Amino acid sequence: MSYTDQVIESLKKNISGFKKEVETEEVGAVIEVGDGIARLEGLDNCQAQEMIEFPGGVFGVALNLEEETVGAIILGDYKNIKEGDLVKRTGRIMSIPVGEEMIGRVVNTLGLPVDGAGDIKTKDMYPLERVAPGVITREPVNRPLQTGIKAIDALIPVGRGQRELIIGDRQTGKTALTIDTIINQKGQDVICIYVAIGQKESKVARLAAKLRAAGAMEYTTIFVAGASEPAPMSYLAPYAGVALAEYFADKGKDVLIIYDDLTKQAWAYREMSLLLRRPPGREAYPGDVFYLHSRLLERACNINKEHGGGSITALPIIETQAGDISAYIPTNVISITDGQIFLETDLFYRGIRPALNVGLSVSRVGGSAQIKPMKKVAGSLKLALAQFRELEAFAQFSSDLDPETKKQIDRGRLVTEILKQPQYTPMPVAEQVAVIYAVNNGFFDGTEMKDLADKEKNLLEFMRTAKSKLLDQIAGGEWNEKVENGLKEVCLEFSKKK
Amino acid sequence: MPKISTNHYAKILYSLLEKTEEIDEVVKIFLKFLRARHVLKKVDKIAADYARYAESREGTKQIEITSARPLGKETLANIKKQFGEKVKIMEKIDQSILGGCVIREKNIIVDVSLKRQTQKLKQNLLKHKITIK
Repeated sequence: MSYTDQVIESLKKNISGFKKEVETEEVGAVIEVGDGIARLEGLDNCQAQEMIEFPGGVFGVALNLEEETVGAIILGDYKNIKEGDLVKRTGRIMSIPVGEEMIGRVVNTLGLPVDGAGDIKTKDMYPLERVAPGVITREPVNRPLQTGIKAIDALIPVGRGQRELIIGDRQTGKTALTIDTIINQKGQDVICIYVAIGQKESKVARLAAKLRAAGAMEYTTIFVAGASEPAPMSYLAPYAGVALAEYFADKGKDVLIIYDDLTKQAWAYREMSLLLRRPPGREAYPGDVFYLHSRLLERACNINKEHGGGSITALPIIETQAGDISAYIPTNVISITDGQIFLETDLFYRGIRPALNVGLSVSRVGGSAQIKPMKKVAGSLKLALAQFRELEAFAQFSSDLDPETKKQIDRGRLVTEILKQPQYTPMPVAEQVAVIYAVNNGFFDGTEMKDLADKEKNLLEFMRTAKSKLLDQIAGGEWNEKVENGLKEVCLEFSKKK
Repeated sequence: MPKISTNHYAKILYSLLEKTEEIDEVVKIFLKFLRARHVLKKVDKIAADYARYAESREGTKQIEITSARPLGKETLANIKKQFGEKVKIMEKIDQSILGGCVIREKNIIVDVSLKRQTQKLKQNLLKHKITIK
């Protein structure tokens, strides 16, 4: 049989096997269309959060069920929807396609590809809204998630299953921090999901290119709800991201999800809520804006072995206006998360990058997830920084100070300098431990600030070539006298060589 | 003045008309009442709600049948039988459905048009995987 005949035969079979089905549909009619929302009549048995279909294959979600009307959001182009149009119930609740095939792709809120690399063929569907795992299935955060950033891994450690907020003004390196974290997950068996909410498409394109260049797209999915898309897309994007994360977590994998940023999601939700005529509250946000974020972030979890393992670590981002962390949304999200990383404009312009405010940043649960060597060396680092902060005001009178105070100030400066780290250069945890050990034990004392970065680089180079076994031991969480002496010897050897 | 929904107006009118023989007079007074309350512009909506309410009270049904060509008497009688005695049929001709018919009762649609069936067939064919031996 020729190729054509086979195709025809196959199609014939399909057509003859086609069964006519009569189905009843429940319908309603559009009475009002606004920016991204619609008010409908009819749809008597419509459920909350149910998907509805507008003419032209545009979908919507029913949000407000009122006495005589239904308020719905429209997912897609609403310009062709007019008064009187028929709307059908679908009987499904809002869900998106999920699967391994999504990895390495850039998709929109509905899970459809926007990177021009063809269709994504997935088998499963996951609901956008799902109740977070309960107490029985969870266990405390106990494994580290290495961000590769010295200041964070040492002072504000993040564990798998934690929710750590990244907060700061515009242009303080919030996104840069998360990108470094994604790049550092290479080979760590962590799947990363980056949700861009209300971002410039150019920024997302640049970011995707950067991740691809670093080889990080092999384990990353990017969700985009661009600034030009209607508000409902921005509102739903984080839930779409976490639905995919749950798919992987259910398979026992570790997932890192980044929401960039939740301020814009709250704006989108506010816009929708006002158009749907829900009563406005503080800062015109609706009453359930706390629940909007709490139900999302509660879905981050560390599942215990009996329930399949797997974890979802969430790094939500919040943008503040002029450093005001006491505004409505920032305080809400700070209270929901397990700690925050606070970035400051002042520090950023003083050249301290990442511009971390070590005093205001905390991690409430990450400490128990740190590996032992890091726990040991970070202790003295914290002490040195705390002492330095107290004495910093006297630093100008350096010549009149007693030698002990002067020593503490010098050490503090050195520590601040060593915690600086350029973008796109995450550092393995063992190397971080080695560097911090060297600073703590005075091996970098007397070094000019401008030479410090070079010296650090040389030390690590030396260690990688001569003592890679020691680094492996540290990475494995080993810490005893032998390891400590080994580190000491390397540092001594290194300083002699110079 | 408290706001009254159009549905509520319709119910008021129905309960008035139920008790009286002088329908014209009552409707006249009712319209004056609407004008006094500045809701005359909603009279269309009230009439629609009235029709719906009256139907639900009296058990009459109104169905709309859309077909590509006018339906035969026998077919219509057949359909009527399915919906019971108190049924009012409105016929509509729409050639774009190609064949068959679409029956609508309030918020429920039964679509047995040829157009819908071909659409489904198309979807089915698009999903179809061709295996070449």
